[in-house]
Amino acid sequence: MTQTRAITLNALSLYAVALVLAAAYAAQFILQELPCPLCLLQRILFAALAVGPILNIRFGLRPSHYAMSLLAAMAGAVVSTRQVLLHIMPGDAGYGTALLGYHYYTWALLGFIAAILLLAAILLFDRQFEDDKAVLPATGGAFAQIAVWLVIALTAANVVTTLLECGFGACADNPLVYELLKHAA
Amino acid sequence: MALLVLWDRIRSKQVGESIIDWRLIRKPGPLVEFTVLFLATAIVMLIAWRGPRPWALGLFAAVLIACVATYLHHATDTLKLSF
Repeated sequence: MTQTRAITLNALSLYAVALVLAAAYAAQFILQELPCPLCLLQRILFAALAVGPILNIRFGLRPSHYAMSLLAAMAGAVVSTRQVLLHIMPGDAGYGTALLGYHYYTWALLGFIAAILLLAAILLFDRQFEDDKAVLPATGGAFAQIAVWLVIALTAANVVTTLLECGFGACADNPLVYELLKHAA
Repeated sequence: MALLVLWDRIRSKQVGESIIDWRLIRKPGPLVEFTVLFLATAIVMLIAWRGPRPWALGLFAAVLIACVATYLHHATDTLKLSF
């Protein structure tokens, strides 16, 4: 795999992370389902997945950058597995709406497992880490730059919506309203 | 939804009345962990994109450790397993 192709794959992975964060927002705003604490933690770890590709695009491809994403994906898989186990009892309706038969945390677990497999697969290609004299565009070109800013913008938006949802106290286990927008009693 | 609620608050507020329940801000709880984690992750991304690499690596490690600590903090509930 050439460096150019690997950089393109890294940019694509950022678009995939952006898609996941946007889908989570779609559930939050369209279906009006506020994310629970474990759901928020899974979102944070999806966002953390993006740091490795950003470093790859900015500083060049390194195994350590992929390792960072692997660690985030493993942590995310642990968190989403816990939420799956919390709702594994027969008769448990689960948390939130099911999408294509699976709840969001189950999709999140599948997403984190897919990320682990893809990261392991891309690490198999040693040639990407060798200097192949390819003239790469500065910071990956427009395609990669848009991907980076998209992920950063979605993560920054989550700062605001999480603050509105949880307020300045502990986030509710089953949040129904935006704490900071509640009318004063 | 948040934007609609916010817009409703802006339209219905009286002159001089804030759209935010400031009592919540004046009495902050100890846990704004998820907001802080999102903020820290966004900062790590910005540093990874614009700043020095060692800072990005160090801050990423700190965020990941904080995520694990937050998970362990919330992992004390009993798991209702079916076996």
